Parts: sequence; structure tokens; C-alpha cells
Amino acid sequence: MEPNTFQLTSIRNLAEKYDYFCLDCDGVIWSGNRIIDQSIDVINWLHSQGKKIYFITNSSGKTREDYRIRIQKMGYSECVEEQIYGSAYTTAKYIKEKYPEITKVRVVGMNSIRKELSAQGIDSEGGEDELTFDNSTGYMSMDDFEKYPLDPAVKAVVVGLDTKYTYAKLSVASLYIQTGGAKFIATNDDAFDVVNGRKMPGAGAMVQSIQFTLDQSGKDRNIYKPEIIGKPNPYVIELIMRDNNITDKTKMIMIGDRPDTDILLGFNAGIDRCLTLTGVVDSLGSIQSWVEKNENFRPIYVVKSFGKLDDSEISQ
Amino acid sequence: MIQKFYPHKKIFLITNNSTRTRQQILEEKLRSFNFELDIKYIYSSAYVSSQYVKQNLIKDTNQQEQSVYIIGQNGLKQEMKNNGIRVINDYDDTRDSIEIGSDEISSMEVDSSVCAVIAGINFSFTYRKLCLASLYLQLNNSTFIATNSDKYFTTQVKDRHMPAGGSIVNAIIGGTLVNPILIGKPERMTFEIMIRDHNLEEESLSKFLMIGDNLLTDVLFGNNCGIDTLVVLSGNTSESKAIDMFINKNMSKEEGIPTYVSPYFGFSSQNLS
Repeated sequence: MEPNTFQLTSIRNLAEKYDYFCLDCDGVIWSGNRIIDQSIDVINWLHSQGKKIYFITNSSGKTREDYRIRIQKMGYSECVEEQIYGSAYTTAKYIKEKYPEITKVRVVGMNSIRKELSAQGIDSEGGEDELTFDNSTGYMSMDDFEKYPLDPAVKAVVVGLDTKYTYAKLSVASLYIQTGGAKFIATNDDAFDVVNGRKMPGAGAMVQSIQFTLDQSGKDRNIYKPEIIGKPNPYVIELIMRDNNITDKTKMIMIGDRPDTDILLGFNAGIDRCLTLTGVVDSLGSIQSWVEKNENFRPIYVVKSFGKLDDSEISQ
Repeated sequence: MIQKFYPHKKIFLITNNSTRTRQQILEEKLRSFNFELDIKYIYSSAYVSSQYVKQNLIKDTNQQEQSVYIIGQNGLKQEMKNNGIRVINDYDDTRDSIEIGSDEISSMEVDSSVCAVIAGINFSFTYRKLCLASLYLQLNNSTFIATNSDKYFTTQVKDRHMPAGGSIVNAIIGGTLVNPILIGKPERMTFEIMIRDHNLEEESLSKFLMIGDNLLTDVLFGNNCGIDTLVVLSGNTSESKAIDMFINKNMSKEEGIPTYVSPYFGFSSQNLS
């Protein structure tokens, strides 16, 4: 990589140019339960400077209200729900806007997705409800599968991380799509989250297992590709701009730790993007291998840590 | 019947089914059709997986120093044990909790003896099992083995296809980004193990015939092994598909190119010319 193809900078410097700060959460503000550096102080400083702050996370396991409460507890007391763009909310808005005819969906994921859908007037089944069967094992048998009653009102299956995922849920989801003609929509396709240094399987597991079983010979592979609403789909930026009457993209900056979701999101949305070295990429030298995979993973700026207002000294 | 009329022909049963041991296949399936076969001719994906593990991953089965983590039905666990491989989850894990919290994942100590995660269809699959697989793969660098990549089982209801082993395998791939060693058809591995077991390595490939109903598993398997194939129309492949392949000459390497076609596996096959 040529030197100076991206700019080493600090949050204070970015605040001189940008008014709208779109922040990824995990790996930027916090890591698991630990706040990264002084990220909450930086958020409060940005707020005091009149900057608008939006939180964009692919996690679908919390509602906007859940996040607002969490961020307030961390110390950003001015946080309001309207600043939160978790993938459950974003996906519910997407369905409401793009498919207004859909009145009911099946959810694979946590009940937070069902709550956000309900807030948009969309009914749902599934989520954390267990599927049990009346046979000797309690598990879904082929007979149960053959006889499973599909609700004709369900016009889409919405898939996110389901920490209560089972074979039965996989089967019913695939049944709605292949037999019921339901749309296949996913909040995100991230393979795993990193929690205290350990990888924990994410929505990618649910999405890939459902998609794989749908792929049937003799049919076009792509007819069962899911619509993935979360990063790097630029929809969330479009939504933020519309929700908040933002018209000038040049004043927006996306800050994240993942080149393949956060930085690519910035590229796809046509806004500037900054990588923080506090998450998935931990050094300047590591950026190269990402950029080699995809030129659009290249950030415009790099900061050592979002949680440090002034540190623009980064060792190679 | 084949054995009655052609006693000098060798018959091998090659199935991707990972839920039964070879003994169970003989007792529960074959004998119910009056088919008697020595189990040494049965090459199920559970058995072949156990051979792969024994030959490549376990230093000494007598020492029992290494073990495997199984996501699959009891037959898969039993087949491992039948072949001297220690199964770390050799208990009824269907009674475990479905979920697992991030605290437990962060702090869990995993048994360092686990050298492989082996996955096949599992009707009691849960997020917890997925996370345990992920932990063994990331902490032990265990080998990820897929008994098969079958997409679905056909059922008695048209258009209702039930997820098969490949969907469980892809849940693990999707949640870990680790690619598995693939055991079952259409991979060649079963054939290689089979000819070695039976000292057929010097035999000409032209003497082998693979018979099956599924282009993507059976016929592609035959193509990958360099042997002739016969596709029967009594199952997955329809007569119209056969006409398209043989009469219209629409065949593709990706789908598998059969040598012969027959309405069913029996003695009164008709020519389609």
C-alpha cells in the first residue's frame, strides 16, 4: 500500500470537518461489557460541540429502547432512541417501506426483532417461541414436517442471530420460503461477534443454513438469496438522512472497526469513512490484507482509537 | 438377486446417511428387504468419517488421548465408538439447554483432547451445540469434518424438502468461517478408502459401476472417481430430466454426467433409444 493513501487523524480533527457522526458500536465504543478508552467522554464532547451522533449496529438482539438505556447507563445521558439504528429497527423500517403489503412475518431471531416489527405495525410469529412436537422425541420428525401448517398470512421470513436456534426453526423457516413463497430477509450476515477474545457465532449461521437447504438443483441459485438489510447495505444511511432531514453527505462520517461492514458501508453510501484500530483491525499493517481483498475496504481516515480525542500519533 | 445370479460380482453399498452404524443399516434397513450383506461392504458416511479420523488424526486409538465432538444422531456417535474413537459428548445431550450466554462462552474451559468436530444431520441441533463446535475449532484448532453436504431429504409431500446434513454443516461454516473436510458423495474419499480396504487398487476402473438416483451425489461421485455410472429414475431424477440429458444431449459437468440410465434398479431395464 502506498504511504498516505489514507490519513492518520484524530477525532478532534474530524470534528472540524464533519457534523454527523455515524458510529459502529462493538469494537468502537465498547467491547463486550468494557468501554473502550474514553469513548463515552468523546461522545459527550461531540454532543457538546453540537455534533449529531447516530449509533449503527448490525446486532438485532436489542430494540432501540434497549440500546438507549444501555448507552445512557454508560454515561451518555443525553442519548435518545432516535439516535439508535440497530438492525432490528432498520429491517422493520425496510419492510414497512419497501413491502407495505406485508402484514405478517416469521422471525428467526430474538424477540427484539418482533418488537421492532410490531412498532411498525407488522405482526409476527416465531422469535424466541420454542417449537415442540408431540412425538416420542419432542423433536421435529419427517411426519411433523410434512404436516406442518403454514400460516398463509406470513409473507416473509426475517432472519437474525437466534441464540435459541434449533433444527425445527431452520426447517420451518425453509418451509415458508420454499413452499409458502415467503421472502427471505436477513438483518445481517455477520459470521461471528468477538466477545472477550472469543468468537461467538452470529446471524451468518442462521442465514447460511437456511439458504443452503433452499438451493435446489434445476433452479437458479440466486432465487433464494436473502435480502440483507444491515451493514454494508447502504439503506441505513439513507434512512438516517431521511429520518433526520440531512441533505449534505459531505458532512457525514462513518466510524467503525470492520473494513468489510463499516468501511464498505461508507463506500456504498457515498460518505467518508474512518477506521478505528480498537477492534477487528489492530494495527496499520493489518489494513493491507483487507484492502487486497477489496479496494472498497480502504478507509479514508484512520484513528488509533475513537475513545481518544487527540491521539493522532500511531506507530506502524 | 444380483448376488444370486452373479455371485462373483462384488456389491458395495455407498450411502451418505450419517445417522446409522453399518450394523444398524444391515439390521434395520437391508434385512427388512431380505438383503444380506457383510458389513465390510457397507460404506456409510459415518463409517468413512471414522476411518478418516483414525487414519489422519488419531495417533493411537488404544491411548484414547484424543477425542471428537459430534453433532449428529446417535448412530454417528456409536460408529465412532465402534471404531475405537473416544466421543467427548458421549451422553444424551438432547437434555442440555438450547442456548448459551456470552459469559459462559467467554469463560468455558474446553477439553484439549478434542481434535475434531464431526457434523451430520442432527434433529436436536441447537445454538449451544453450534457454539461448542465453534469453541473447539477456535481454541483447539480442531479439524472440522462434514459427513456429507446433502441439501435436503425429499418427503412424501411434493415441494416440501426437509433440511439435510449439509444445512447443519453450513450453520457451522456460516458461524465460524471454517471450511470442513467433506467425506460423503460426491467426494472421492469413500472410493479411495473402499478400494484400499478391499485390495482393489490394482483393478481397472472400467470394472466399477456406480448406481444411484441422484445426479449431484451419486453420478458426480462416479465422475470424480473416474468410473461409469448408471442413473435410475425411481427416485430423485425424473424421466423428463433423463430425456433432456440423453436425447437432447443436455448434460453438464457440474450436475454429473451419467453413462447409463434405467427406469429402476432391476433386471428388466429398457433402452431409451
